[in-house]
Amino acid sequence: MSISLFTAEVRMAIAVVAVVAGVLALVLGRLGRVEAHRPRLEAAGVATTVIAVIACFTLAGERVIAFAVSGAAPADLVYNEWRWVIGAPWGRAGIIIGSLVATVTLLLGYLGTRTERLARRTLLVSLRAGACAAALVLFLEPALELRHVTREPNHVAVLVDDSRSMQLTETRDAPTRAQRAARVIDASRGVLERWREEHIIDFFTFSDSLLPAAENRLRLPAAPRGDATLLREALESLRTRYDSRDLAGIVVLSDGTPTGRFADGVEDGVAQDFLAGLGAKVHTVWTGAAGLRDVSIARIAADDFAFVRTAVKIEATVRAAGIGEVELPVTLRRDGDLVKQLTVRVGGRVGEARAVFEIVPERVGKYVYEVSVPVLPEESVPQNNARAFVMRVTRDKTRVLQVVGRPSWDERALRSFFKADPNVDLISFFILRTHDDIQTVSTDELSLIPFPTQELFEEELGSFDIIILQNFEFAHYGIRPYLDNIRDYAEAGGGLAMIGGDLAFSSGAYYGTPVAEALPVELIPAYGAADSERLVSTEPFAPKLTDEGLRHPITQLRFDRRDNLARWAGLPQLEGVNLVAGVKPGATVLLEHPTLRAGDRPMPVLVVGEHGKGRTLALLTDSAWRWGFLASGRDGDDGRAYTRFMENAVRWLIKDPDLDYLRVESDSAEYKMGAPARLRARLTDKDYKPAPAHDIVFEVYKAEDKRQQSKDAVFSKTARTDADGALLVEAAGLPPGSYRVVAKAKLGDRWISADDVFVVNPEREELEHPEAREDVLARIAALTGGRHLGAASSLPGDLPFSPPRVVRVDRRMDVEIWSRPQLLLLALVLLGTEWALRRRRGFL
Amino acid sequence: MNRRSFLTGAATAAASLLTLHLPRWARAIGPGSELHFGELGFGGGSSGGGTGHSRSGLERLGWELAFRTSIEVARENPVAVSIAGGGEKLFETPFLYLSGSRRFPLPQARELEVLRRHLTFGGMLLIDSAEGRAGGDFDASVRQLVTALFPASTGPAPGTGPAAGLVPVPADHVIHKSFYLTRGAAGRVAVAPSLEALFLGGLGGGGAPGAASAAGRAAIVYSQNDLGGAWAKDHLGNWAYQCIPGGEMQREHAFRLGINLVMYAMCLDYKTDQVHVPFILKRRRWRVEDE
Repeated sequence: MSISLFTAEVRMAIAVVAVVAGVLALVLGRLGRVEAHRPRLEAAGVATTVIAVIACFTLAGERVIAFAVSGAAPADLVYNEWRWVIGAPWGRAGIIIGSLVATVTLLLGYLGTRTERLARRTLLVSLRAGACAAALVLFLEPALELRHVTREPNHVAVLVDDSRSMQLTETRDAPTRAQRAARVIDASRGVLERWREEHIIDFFTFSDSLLPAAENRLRLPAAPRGDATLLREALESLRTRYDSRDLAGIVVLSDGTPTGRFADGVEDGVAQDFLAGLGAKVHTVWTGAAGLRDVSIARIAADDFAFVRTAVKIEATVRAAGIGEVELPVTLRRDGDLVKQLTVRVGGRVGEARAVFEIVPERVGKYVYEVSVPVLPEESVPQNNARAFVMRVTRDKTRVLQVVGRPSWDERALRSFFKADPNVDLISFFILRTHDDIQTVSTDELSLIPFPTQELFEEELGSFDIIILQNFEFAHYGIRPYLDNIRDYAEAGGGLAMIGGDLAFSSGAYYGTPVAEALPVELIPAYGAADSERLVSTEPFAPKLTDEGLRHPITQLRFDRRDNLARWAGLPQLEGVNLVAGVKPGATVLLEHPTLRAGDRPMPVLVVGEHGKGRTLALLTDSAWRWGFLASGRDGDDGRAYTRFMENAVRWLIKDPDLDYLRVESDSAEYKMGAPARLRARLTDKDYKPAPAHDIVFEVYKAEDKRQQSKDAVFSKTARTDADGALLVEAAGLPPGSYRVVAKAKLGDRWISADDVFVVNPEREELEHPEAREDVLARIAALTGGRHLGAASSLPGDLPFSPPRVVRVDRRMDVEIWSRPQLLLLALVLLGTEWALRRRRGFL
Repeated sequence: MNRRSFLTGAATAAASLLTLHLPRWARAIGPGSELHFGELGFGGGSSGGGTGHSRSGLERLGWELAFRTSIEVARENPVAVSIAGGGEKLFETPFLYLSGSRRFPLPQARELEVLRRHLTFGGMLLIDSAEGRAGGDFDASVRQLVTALFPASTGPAPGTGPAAGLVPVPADHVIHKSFYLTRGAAGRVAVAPSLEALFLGGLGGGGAPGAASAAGRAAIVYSQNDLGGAWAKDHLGNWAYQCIPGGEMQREHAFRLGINLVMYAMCLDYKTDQVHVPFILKRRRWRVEDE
C-alpha cells in the first residue's frame, strides 16, 4: 500500500520552503563571501541552509517511510487511518534525555564548524543533523500503526402505532389516524432517502408489542393489530434491540393515547428517568386530531359481592368527549332484562358524570349486570358504550319473622331454635292477649305493645327471608288487607311456612284468602274455629314418612336411609293434626297421617311446595316440639330431632344452594378475551353423596338468551363425572359477551339442572380514552431532546439525530519504521560522510 | 214490648256476655299443646308437708291465665308428676312446680339426672316455699337440691358451666315484664325482697354470686313468699289465706307474678327482644327509596 504522511498541500508547502530557504542560503553565502565576518549574516545563512536541508530531508523522509511501509505491508490491504506509535520502552524521561542528547550533539556540531565556510559548515551541520535524526529514530523506535476503520452509520427507528385506536376517525369524512400515519410515511420518501446516507432507517409498528415492518408496507394504513398502545414498552424493547448498536434517534407516529405504563402521562419520576436513560432523541408526530365524539361507560365501581335482600350500590361513570351537553339515559340490565334506568347530564364542560344505581338482589347466585348508554349518531367509538360485570349474591344472616297466635311450647321450641343460631336475625311477634281476654288493669301496667301491623306486613315484609305463621289467626288484628302482601312475598321468592294449631289453616279462617293460594294444601271451607271437630283431630298418632319424605332434604334426620327411617319411627307421637281438604298439585307430602284420609289420599301432616319463585311449607300440627323436648326424656335420644328438622326446613325454605344436587361454576367471573372458560360441575346423588360416572351435559348460551334451546348454544359438551362426582370442561374461543352455562344431569328418573354466569371481556383499555392527545407525545419529545412535530404531514429533513459514535477497527497493523534496514543504512551513510568530510578538513 | 220478650232478650244478652268471658279451655288440638302444670312430689305424694293448697293455687293460676292471656290452659290442672321411674311423663309438662314447708330428702342420683335433663333441655321449675319465713328447713332442702342438680363449676371460664347456684333475679329481668310490669316478689307473705333463680347457658359459673346476669335462661325460679298460698282458694270458694301485709293488692300482684312466670316459661326473653325490634326491623336495607 502507499502511504502519504502529508497531504499534497503540505508537501507543496515544504517544497516551497525548501526552495526558498535554499535560494536564501545561497544568496547569503554569496554575500558572506563578499563581506566577511558578519556573524549575523552568517548565522542567518546557516539557519536558512539548515531549514532548506530539513525541508528536503522531510520530503525525503516521507518518501523513505513510504518506501519502508510499502515494503512492510502487502499491497492489497487497504488502510484508511494511521498514527504514530513510539515503540521505545524508555519512558517519557528517556525520550526527553535522548532528544536532549541529539540536540546537544547537533549544537556541538554547529559550534565546532565555526571556522568553516558557510557552505561547508552547512553541509557538515546537516550531515550531523541527519545522523542525529537517524540515531533518534533508532532510539525512539517509532512505528506506524495502520488501521482500517469503519465508521458505522447509526440507526434511526421509525415507530408507527398500529393499535386499535388508530382505526378511529374524528368525524365521518376525515381520514382515520392510521391513514394519516401512512400518508406521513409516504410523503416523507425523499427525506428518508436523505437520512439513509448517514443512517440506517428501521421501521417498526407497535401496539401491544413491537414488530419490524417494511417501509413500503407502511405507506399504506396499517391494519389494527393490538388492543393496547404500549409506548413505553415499545421504547424499552427498542432499547434492548439496539443495545450494542447506535441509535441515532426515534421517530414515533401515534395518536397519543398510550395505555400501559405511560397511561398516566410521563410526569412521574420513573417515566422521566426512563426517558432520560433512553439515550436517544424521540421525535413525535401526532396522527390524531381534535374533534372525536364519544360517549362511554368509563368505569364501573361495584362490589363483587352483595347480600341477598340487601341494597347494593353500582356506580357507573359516563364519560363524554367532543359533544355538547346532553341528557342521556343510563340503563342497568341483568341477564339482558332491564332493571333500572337513570338519566345523567354529560358533555360540554361536563366531561364525566356518575350514575348510581341501587338494587336489591333477591336471590343467591351469580348475575351478569350490564350498564349501557345509547350510541349517539356522531359517535366514533360505539364499542365502549356498554360494560358488563358479574356480581355474586350471597346470604348474610337469615332474617326470620315468627308470628305466633298464642304462646305455647311449640312456639317456644321454635323460638329457642332460632335464637340459638347466630346466623339468624329473629323478629317475633306473639299475641299474648287476645281480644276476648279480660282486661283488669290499665295498659301502663302491662308490658304489651300494639301489633305493628303495617310496619310488619307492608313496609318491611320484603326484608325477611322466611315468614312463619305459627298458630296465628289474622282476624282481629287488621291484617286482612295485608294477606295478599304475604302471598306476593312468597311469589317473589320469599319462604313462607304455616305451622298448625287451633288458630291455623282453616281454623284461622284462611280459607279463601290470598295466603291460602300460596299454601301447598287445599283448605277445608270454613271461616273460623267454631266447628272445630271438622277442622282438627286431637288423637295422638305417629306420622309416616312418604316416599318423597324418605328422599327430601327436609326430612333427612339421618344420612343413611335405614337410619333415617329408624329415627323417625323412634320419635314421640304427635298429638293432633289440622285437617285439610287435599294437597295442591305439584306439592310434595313428606309426612302423612297413618289413618285419616283427605279425599282419596292419606291426610297430610307435612307438605312442601312452590309458589311463584318462593317455597312454602305447611306443618299441620302444633306438637312437633315433642320431637325435641319430649324425645330428650327418652333414653338414648339426644333430643335433637326437632332442631335437625327445623334446620333442614329453614335451609330448604331459603333455597340454600348447599341443598342442590348438581352445581356448576365457572372458575372466574370475568375472563379476558381469548382465555378459555373453565367450567366445573359437581354432582351428588339424592343422599348427597358424590355421584361418579354420571353424564353431565354442558351448554353455554348468551346471557340474554332466555329460551335456551340446545341449537342456540354457543358451546356444548357432554362428559362423565370422575370418582368424586366432579367434572371440568373448558370452553375456549368465546367472543366477548355475557354467558350462562347450564349443566344438566339425570338423577334417577329426573333431569336436574344448575347454571352459572360469566363474562368474557373485550380488551377495554384501548378504547377507554379514544380521544387523541398530543400532550404525552410532546412531553416525551421534550424530555428526550427531540422535537414534537404535531400534526405534520411529512417528516422534515432537518430533524436532529445523534452522529454515529461507533468506530469499528477492522484491521490493524504496526509498521516499525526504525527496524527497516534501509534506515540503518542511511544513518550509517550520513555518519560516514560527515566523518569523511571532517577528516578531510582535518577535524578528526 | 212485653215481659217475656224482654226476659228472653236479657237472658240472651247475658248468655252471650258470659260466653265472651268464658276461659279458654282445651281448644288446642291435642292435650299436649295445652298448658299443664306439673306438680312435683318427692318420694311420692305431694312434697314434704305442703300447705295442701298448692293444688288449688295452681288451679286458680290456670284460670287467671286462661282469662287474662291467650295461653291455652288444660282443664285438668295441675298434673302430678314424679321424677321417680325415669319419667317420660315428666317431659310432657315442661313447667314444673314444687312447693312445701318442711325438709325433704334429696332425690337419688338417677332421679336427679332426669330432672337435670328436663331443665337443661328447656324445662322450668318453679319452687315455692310455704314456710312463711326465709331460711327455714324447706329452704335448706331447696338449696341442697339446686346444688346437687347444678353444681357450681369451679373453673374460671364463664358461660361454660351452670350458674353459681341461685342468684337474685334483678328487678329489670324479663320475668318482671313478660306480661305485666311487676316489682318485688310478694306472695302470701313478703319475707324475701326478690325471686331467686338459677340461670343456665349464660354467663354463670365462676362469676361472683351476686352477678345474676340477664343472659341465660332461668331454669329454676325460687320464691320464698308462698305464691301458691296467695293463689289458693278453699273448698268454699273463698281465698284460703290472707296476704300479709299488702292484702288484696298483694294477692293481685302475686297472680301477676305467676302469670309472668308462665309467660316467661313459654316466651323466654321475647320481651327483651321487643326493645330491639325497631332497630332489627330497619337493619337490613332491603329496599331502595325511589324518588
